[in-house]
Amino acid sequence: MSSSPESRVPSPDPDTPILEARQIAKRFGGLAAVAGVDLTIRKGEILGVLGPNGAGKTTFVNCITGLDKPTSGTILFRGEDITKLPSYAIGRLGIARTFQVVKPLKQLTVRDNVAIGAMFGARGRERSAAQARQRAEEVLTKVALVHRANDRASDLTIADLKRLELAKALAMDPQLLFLDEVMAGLNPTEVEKAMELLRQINREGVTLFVIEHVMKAIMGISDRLVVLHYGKKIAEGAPQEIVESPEVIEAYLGERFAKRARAAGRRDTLTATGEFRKAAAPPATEKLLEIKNLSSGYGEVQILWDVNLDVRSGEVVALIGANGAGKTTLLYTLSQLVKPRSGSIRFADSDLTRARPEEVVGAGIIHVPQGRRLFPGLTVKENLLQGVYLRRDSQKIKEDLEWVFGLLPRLKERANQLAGRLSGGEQQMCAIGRGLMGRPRLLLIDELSLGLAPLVVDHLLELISQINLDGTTVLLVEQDVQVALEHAHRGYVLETGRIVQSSTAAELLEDPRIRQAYLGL
Amino acid sequence: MSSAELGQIAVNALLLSGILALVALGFSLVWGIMNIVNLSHGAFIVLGAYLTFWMYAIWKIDPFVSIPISMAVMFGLGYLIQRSLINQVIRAPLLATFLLTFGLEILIVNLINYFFKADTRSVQPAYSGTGFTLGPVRVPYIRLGALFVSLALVLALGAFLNRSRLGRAIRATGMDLDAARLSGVKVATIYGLTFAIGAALAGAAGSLLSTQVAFDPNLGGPYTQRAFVICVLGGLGNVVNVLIGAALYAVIEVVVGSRLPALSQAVTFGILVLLLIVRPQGIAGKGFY
Amino acid sequence: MPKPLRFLLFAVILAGLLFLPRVVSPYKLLTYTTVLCLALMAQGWNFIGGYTGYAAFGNVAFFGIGAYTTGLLMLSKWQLPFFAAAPAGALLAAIVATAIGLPVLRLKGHYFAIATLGVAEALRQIAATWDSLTQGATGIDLPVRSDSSFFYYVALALVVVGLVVTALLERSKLGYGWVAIREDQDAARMLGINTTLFKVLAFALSAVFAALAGAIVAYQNIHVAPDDFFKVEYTLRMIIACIIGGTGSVWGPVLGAAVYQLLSTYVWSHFIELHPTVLGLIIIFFIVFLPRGLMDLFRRLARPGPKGRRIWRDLLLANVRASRVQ
Repeated sequence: MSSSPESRVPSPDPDTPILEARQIAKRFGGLAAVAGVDLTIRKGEILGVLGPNGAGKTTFVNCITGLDKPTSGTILFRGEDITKLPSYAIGRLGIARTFQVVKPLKQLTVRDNVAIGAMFGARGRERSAAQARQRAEEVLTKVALVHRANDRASDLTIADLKRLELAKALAMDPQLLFLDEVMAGLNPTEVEKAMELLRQINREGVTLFVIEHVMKAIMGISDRLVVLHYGKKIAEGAPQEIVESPEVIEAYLGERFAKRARAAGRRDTLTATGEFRKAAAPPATEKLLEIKNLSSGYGEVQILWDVNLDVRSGEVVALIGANGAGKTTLLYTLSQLVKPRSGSIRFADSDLTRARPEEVVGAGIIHVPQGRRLFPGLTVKENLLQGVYLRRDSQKIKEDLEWVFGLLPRLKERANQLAGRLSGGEQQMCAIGRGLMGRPRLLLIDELSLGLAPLVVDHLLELISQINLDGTTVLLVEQDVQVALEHAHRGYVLETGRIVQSSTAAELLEDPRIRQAYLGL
Repeated sequence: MSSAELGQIAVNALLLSGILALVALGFSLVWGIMNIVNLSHGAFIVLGAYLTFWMYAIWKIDPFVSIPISMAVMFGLGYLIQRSLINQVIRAPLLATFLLTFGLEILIVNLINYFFKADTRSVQPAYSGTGFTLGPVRVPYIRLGALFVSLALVLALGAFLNRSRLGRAIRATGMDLDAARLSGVKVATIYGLTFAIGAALAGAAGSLLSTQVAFDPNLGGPYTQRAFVICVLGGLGNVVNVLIGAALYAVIEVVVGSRLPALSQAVTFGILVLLLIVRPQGIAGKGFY
Repeated sequence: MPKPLRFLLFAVILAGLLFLPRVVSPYKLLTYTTVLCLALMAQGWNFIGGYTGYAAFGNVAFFGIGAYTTGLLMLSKWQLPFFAAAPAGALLAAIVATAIGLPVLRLKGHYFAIATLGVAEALRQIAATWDSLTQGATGIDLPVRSDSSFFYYVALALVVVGLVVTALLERSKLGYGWVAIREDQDAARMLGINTTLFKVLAFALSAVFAALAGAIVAYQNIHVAPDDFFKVEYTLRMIIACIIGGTGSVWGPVLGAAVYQLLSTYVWSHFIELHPTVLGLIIIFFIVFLPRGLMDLFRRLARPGPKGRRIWRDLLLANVRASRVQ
């Protein structure tokens, strides 16, 4: 499992900071993405960074690496002021980073991608193009990607793309490496391997700054932790201290999360204490949605492999799995934004395998996509109305609008505001409202919790449970496994595109493998 | 400059801005919603002009009356072209649609040249040349009529986009393609409609221009350029931006045209490049359609 | 094709090309020189538009600068010979490209394309009005040179140099840097590439090639006037040549120029009035079905796999399937 930080060699030197960030602030218009952060990174350490989506972690990294200029503040790298340096110069000094949304150079081979890092990085001047290609081989071997060296980057799977991203950064011979969610999309075994790789890189002398959501990983490898929230640093210290600090728990982690995090650092097991909102299994057992042997993907890359899944009328089914497992792809395939390559989709009495997106909507399957995907330039009301685009019965539409406003009164208050101006929670409400307008028979919800405070998530899931009790069937895709299973009747586990487990939600919550892999227990 | 000259310049700018707004609006809609810089926009202007010319020459249909007809024909043609041709490459890199519309422009203009020959034409109904005077300034009726028609069409489009179900669907598709699909929108059809509307507006502009200038098959090109500059000046995104951009551009063109006619294009492009560097989102900024 | 065989083929073709002026009429030679000049311009555009991914729409500006500089220097009181005047024109074009490039290369996509288009148009007007320098719209007349094979050999030599330069740069750090910029500029910056410098270099290099082509055409044509030497058709031709042949490859521009000229000459002799229409159709065809050009098509055909009619249909439709909306 996780090793305690003290057992690693060599121990970081507290006296030589490799990077000092002083009062870094970044404003976008009126919004302060980063609001005055002081941070010191010690030479040789692994610094873990936590914080919900939107906390400013990536923006902070952008400021340091020169992709964005900070509105104010200073950055010293090994004592030298690099605040005003352009990003390529910062790269040459010995700072490298990976991108959260990977940026492969698609038309180039894997080897060439990495070679470019070697050509232009800290030791680029010493190397010719040919020598850089050789160095690329070495780096690719280290990240176990050398077998794909001659393939085009556009042909890689998500997991391999993450490794390529890391390899490109490593090829730059950095002294300080910023890693932005490199573990996202990896299954538990791959997470272990990645942790070991990072430890090895650190042993070889590279200081690491690791942004991560995978609790097990970040607790397991970090010397110190920093927590960012709403653009400010709210805590800093040893990992175990952090997850027990009251401010952190209150502001961000929430009880559930903190328990999980604490447990990740220890070997004791903890019982799950989720209560079920569902009294009993729903009476109806006929299958509303039946997916058989479904495979699909994007371009050359296959994401889903022979997926079998059904949803019965009146249920809430949770689909859980790590980032990149294919959950979103499955929902997009159901909605026909991605075409199935094989298999079948049956909904009620119709075969929707070859349907067009508008036919799926017409059949009553409404998809609330990941990231809200509201129409930013339309008002809240217009967004809701767009949700019933296919209908023309204006009287009924008015009633449905009132019904949605009744469920989500905040939306009524903001009815004439541009959707792009709402807060994250309000946007998610609007997206759900848009989905509900169509009175769906099956509601698909993708990653409700992303970027939202736990309280807001709880409120929204209460709402979902309510409408489910009123008769709407729900397929809920979630990264937050505990929250999803606590609100579902049954669950499916998706790992790298395959369904590996399916059972009632209660059984899944008690399952030791699930608890270890996803709950960090 | 005397006040009479100034006055005439102001009036000319005002009258010009109507047609420019009409030209730019169709262009801006296609650009804003589909991210296509339609280099064949001018071709639809020319076609509209020729349609009006022939309708007048053969059936004596008054040019203003012919506007709905030319708009309908251009609408159909635009829809066809978008569905059958442009939709096939619309998700390719920018250069693809750019060059495609350029190829289309060459093709259409040359066909016009071939069938209609290169002679200059114009439409001169009985009332052309008449006008009224406001002090030292002259206001021709035809130009005034063109201004009203242009404004009416611009306002009609604004109302359509902002208040109708279809208009909302068009705006939504321009903001988030996948989310639009998920709400049941048939994107290919919406794209076809959007391009068709752009073509129809261009056709109307052409019909109006046929009464104001002597035109030949090469009428359209400079107007496409102007449309581009107007979009950069005003910013993409909504009808108001287009009106602002058109007004600004009309003033610039009229002033420069009276002072430095030989270098008018150089000056215009100079301003354009400067603006792109300093404030690429335009003077009014990007709104949403 | 194995390396020694390729070399032999290349040598044979080169020998044939060197021998050409002896066997064809001066008129035919003119056409061949035109192809070579188009290839030269396309090779230049390939650096900025192909490798770096910045579709410049105004490179005719440098063509014109090369033409005028060469002409004016040859006609000046120093009476510079062609081999001094042309490089001077290329140098000036590079300087102008750098000056324009620094602000304009910050723009993206459509904006960059139209900004460069605007620059070319502006230069055309300036050349037409700056009478004291350029004699305005009437233009200038260069000294006459009657042996048309001179132009042919100069153009041929430059195209060969262009091929060598492109091949060398493609494998160099500069070439890698360009491609990185094209694929993902932010990633390129993060990897340590000075994107501004690299972009300006590509742009300046494209200007040099265009200017040299302009010098040759000016000398061959004798008469240089703004409307002829700054017309947007030239930019279009060099871009189409690259598209037909394949952007971002060594042979693409040359192949594309040859194919384009072939098609153009054929169309001219058979459909003279509808010449632009057919041209438009050719553009449309390539954009829809073969946007990566013939070189890419050959590459895909050379890959191991099933052959036959189905593979042709798949190859042609691949682009449509990837980029259409339904």
